[in-house]
Amino acid sequence: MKCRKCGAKASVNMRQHRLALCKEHYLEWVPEQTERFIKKYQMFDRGDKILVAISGGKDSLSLWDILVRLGYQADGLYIGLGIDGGINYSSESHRLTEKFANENNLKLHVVDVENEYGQPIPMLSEISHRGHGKPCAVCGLTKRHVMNRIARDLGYDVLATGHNLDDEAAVLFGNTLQWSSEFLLRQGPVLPSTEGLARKVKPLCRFYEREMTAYALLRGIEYIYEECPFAEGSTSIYYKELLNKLETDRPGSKLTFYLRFLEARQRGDLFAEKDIRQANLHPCPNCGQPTSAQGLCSFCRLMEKAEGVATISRSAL
Amino acid sequence: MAVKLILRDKEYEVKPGMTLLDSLKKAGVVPESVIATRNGEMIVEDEILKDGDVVKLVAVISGGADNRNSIFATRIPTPE
Repeated sequence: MKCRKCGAKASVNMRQHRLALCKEHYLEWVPEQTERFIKKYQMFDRGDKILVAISGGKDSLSLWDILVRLGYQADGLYIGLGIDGGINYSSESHRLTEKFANENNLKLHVVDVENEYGQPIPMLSEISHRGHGKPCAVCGLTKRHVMNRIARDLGYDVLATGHNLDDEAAVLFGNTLQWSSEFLLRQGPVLPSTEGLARKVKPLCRFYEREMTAYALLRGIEYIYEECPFAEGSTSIYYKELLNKLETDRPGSKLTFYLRFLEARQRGDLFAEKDIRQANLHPCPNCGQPTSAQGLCSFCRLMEKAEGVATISRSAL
Repeated sequence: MAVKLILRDKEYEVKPGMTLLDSLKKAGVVPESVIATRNGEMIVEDEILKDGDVVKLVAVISGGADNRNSIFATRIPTPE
């Protein structure tokens, strides 16, 4: 497979876009697309101070790298969770984050949960009895609190996270299975600032997870490859695997699922039962069944067309 | 000889002469969930794998259960 731009051997193939690119052109394409999404969803502009939440994983480090390459004022925030799991998970992700910041001469804020709040995440979870034996709920809650506090206290205009399209599609899938209308209506690339809450944005929300992995590898970004020990068996990962099976057979399914959702949400089409009841239905002048179409209903139009074709065929005989 | 696919601590062997895409499917690996590298270079789905090739697969899925706009934030249903 060849790069569409230069004809060299392709390093990445994005079947949902029918686009294959070589290393050089892929590393140009990703920041160009990120800039396009930042503008499309009006996330922030060049004058804004951006705080990037960094976990030490491929997405957040790549996001930081991309924003800096694009010339944005982006500082990092690393939150030390105190998770070991037999693989020094937190200390290793901290080391890699510090390494990236130092090598690129970037400003990094570090908040250690145990130092600030007295206990690491697993202990806070145990003490609080939240999350059915897993610390993920407490971890998420703590991270959101700290990210918001630092963004506000230090005067950042916006908080950026590295959520990719697979993250968003998995969340959307889970919330759709449960018909969690409240969550569905809040999901999007931008969460506007409200009283006490910083503005949050997801500039990578239209890249597949696979694309972000490719970006990190091709840019030579060293990230924590091992998964959080508590993420194993999580529902979000299970949903991602399901969606990837679908994507393999039907390229573009994940992208369509997410984008059509955003479009429907923007149009106000989600949970529009009231509107459906109030829709202007009237009887079809031919069959009498209700229709919202002008004139004949869709079925009668179909029959009209079919009859027209049959008439033409008969007259041709 | 054969083609070797390595994903984390697992190894799969497939016949040479197939594309990467078919080899992954044959091994039961979801192609969308991995990036494939050979001799340190990324390769794409239509690459024909040759006898003796060693393909290292990088898993792409990450994440946990801590997204704010999600049921995961408050409840984690277990898949049956």
